[in-house]
Amino acid sequence: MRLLIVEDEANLRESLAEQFRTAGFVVDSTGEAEEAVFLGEEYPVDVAVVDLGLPDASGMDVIRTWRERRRDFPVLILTARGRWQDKVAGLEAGADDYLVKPFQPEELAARVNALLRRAAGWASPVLECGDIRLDTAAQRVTVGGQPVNLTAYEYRIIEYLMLHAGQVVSKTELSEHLYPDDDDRDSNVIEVLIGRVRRKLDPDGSRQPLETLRGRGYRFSAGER
Amino acid sequence: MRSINARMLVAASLVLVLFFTLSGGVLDYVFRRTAEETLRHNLQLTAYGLMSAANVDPVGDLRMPSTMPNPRLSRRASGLYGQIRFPGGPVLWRSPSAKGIRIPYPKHVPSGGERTARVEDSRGKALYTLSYSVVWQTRSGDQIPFIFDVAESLGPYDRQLAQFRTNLFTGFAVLTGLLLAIQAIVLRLGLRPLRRIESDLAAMEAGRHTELTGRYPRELARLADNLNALVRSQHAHLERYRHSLEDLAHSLKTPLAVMTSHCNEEAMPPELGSRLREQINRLQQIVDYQLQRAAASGTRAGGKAVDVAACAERIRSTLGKVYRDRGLDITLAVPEGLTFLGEEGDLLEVLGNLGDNACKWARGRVRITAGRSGGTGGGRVRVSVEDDGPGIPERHADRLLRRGVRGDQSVQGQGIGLAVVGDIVVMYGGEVSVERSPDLGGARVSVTLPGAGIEDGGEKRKKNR
Repeated sequence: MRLLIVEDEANLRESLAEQFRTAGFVVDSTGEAEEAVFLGEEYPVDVAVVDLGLPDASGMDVIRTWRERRRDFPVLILTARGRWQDKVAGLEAGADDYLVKPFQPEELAARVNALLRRAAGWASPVLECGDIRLDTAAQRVTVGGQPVNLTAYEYRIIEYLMLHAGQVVSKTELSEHLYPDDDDRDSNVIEVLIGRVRRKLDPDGSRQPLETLRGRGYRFSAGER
Repeated sequence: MRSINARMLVAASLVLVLFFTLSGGVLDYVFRRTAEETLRHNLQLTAYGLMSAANVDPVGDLRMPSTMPNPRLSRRASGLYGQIRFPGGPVLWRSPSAKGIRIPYPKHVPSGGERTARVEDSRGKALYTLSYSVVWQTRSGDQIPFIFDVAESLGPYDRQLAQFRTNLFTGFAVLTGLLLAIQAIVLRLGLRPLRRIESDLAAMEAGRHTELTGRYPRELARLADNLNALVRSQHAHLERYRHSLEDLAHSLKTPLAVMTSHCNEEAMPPELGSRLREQINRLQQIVDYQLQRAAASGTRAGGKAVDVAACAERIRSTLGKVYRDRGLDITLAVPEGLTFLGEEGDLLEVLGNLGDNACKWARGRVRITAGRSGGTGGGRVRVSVEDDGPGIPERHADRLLRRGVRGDQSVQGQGIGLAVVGDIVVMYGGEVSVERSPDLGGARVSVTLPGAGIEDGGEKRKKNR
């Protein structure tokens, strides 16, 4: 999951970036509106957190610019001004949710996860594909009711694939959304991770939830719901 | 007598009436004097005629010719009469016109002088009499005193006077009416700028304008400019105040956010972290409450008429987006054209906070209704937000409205929202009530705010009064 943080207060930006990296996100961050517009346009952003009070331009303008250029990833706005006028204006500019500063980090994580899920078209916080259940709120995966022990990265891979269940996800797409760009984008790493996830989700090979389409990518079976 | 127009009209009418009464009196007096003078003069001529016609023979007997110097003296009851007598003695001669008519001439006339009088003859007719006392010297040298009396009927004179008075009265009445009409027109024209400023002020009050925009005469232009300057400076002041509050909010809240996120770091002992977080929460709450309260303007002057339906729709779409997961059914029942007189931000704040609370607690349905308030005094709108949640216990309602006390710590913002709503509504002189929704079963919070029923607020409000 690729998260863009637009926040001019360096302390908060770093702290948030750290928090989301720990949770397995790929995080891009900036404190300037111009760079924010650029990052949002050029990077495969899944979700953005935007502070409305930027020094060089309003966060609202940044969101408006993205929307005008058909970038429709979900956006959560952070605002120090708790006025409803600002919240309403922010959401009318194209944001999907708001959070008033200061906030609990857990609250922000929950809102971001909910936005991701909703953007992928899932109404319920629990994703279900056959007997594989992924609880986006608790960030837990169970197979046949049994919890699966996962690292943050593994969880994000499964989440990404399940959010796009039934669709073909290419290796490039996976690495773009799950790896920071300065890391070595060796496709072997993805293959290794996929192999590991497969073993964890399907230890006895009876379910086959994850198809490999040679040369095209992977597809998570939507299963019978 | 509240309006300048009425005052001036009444004053001018009084002056006019006084003027015409006085001048009418003077004219009447002058006319009467002149007429009387003419009458007297005519009588004098008649008396002199009689004197020259009279002959006293050497014996001292008076002889009058049969042909009178004035033919009216011969015609019976002609209105002109004459007689000659000795002072205190019998009447020597009576004009033929006076036959059968007794005229009470004054008995005594100063010797060598004259006397006038108004008398009534035996038929009850008013007469003006003139008596001359003369001493006649005969050729033999005897001196014989005579009194020449003449009388003229006052009938023609009275008729003339009555005619004159009628003419005078009619003329003055017509003139007064004409002058008053002109006066009214002049006043209307003269006071038009005042009327215009009055209607412009009403428009400002109704929120259709933010300034006095008309062109006014010099005397009012300064007043209008000053008023505009006052409104503008109030606006500017409010804006500045808000901006500095926003800056303060930003500078206070960001460090708080940083502190909160540090509490979650692994290096932080969990117990200390949660204790710190609790304190940060309290700080945050105080800052939230004070800032939101202060940012609410609550001013009416210069506030535009805000469309309630549009604001409710904006809040509905915002809440719909934020609470999309809940699948809430948020319905609006707000008539078109209902307006709120105040700051749009304040209405959004009220609707947003109430709507947000309702959405947090609702099981599935939230309803926002608005209408003109049926309470005392027109010009108020009533906005209610209700839900099908558990409702607000009565013992908490008061506490929630009064201060930023949280009713339920588990749901963020509950306490502050209602308290902020309460503050804003009180600033606008409105009321908040919390009760159970009769239809949905949850809480229903209703507020009253200044407003109007239709777009053209001023007219409608006047009708309502």
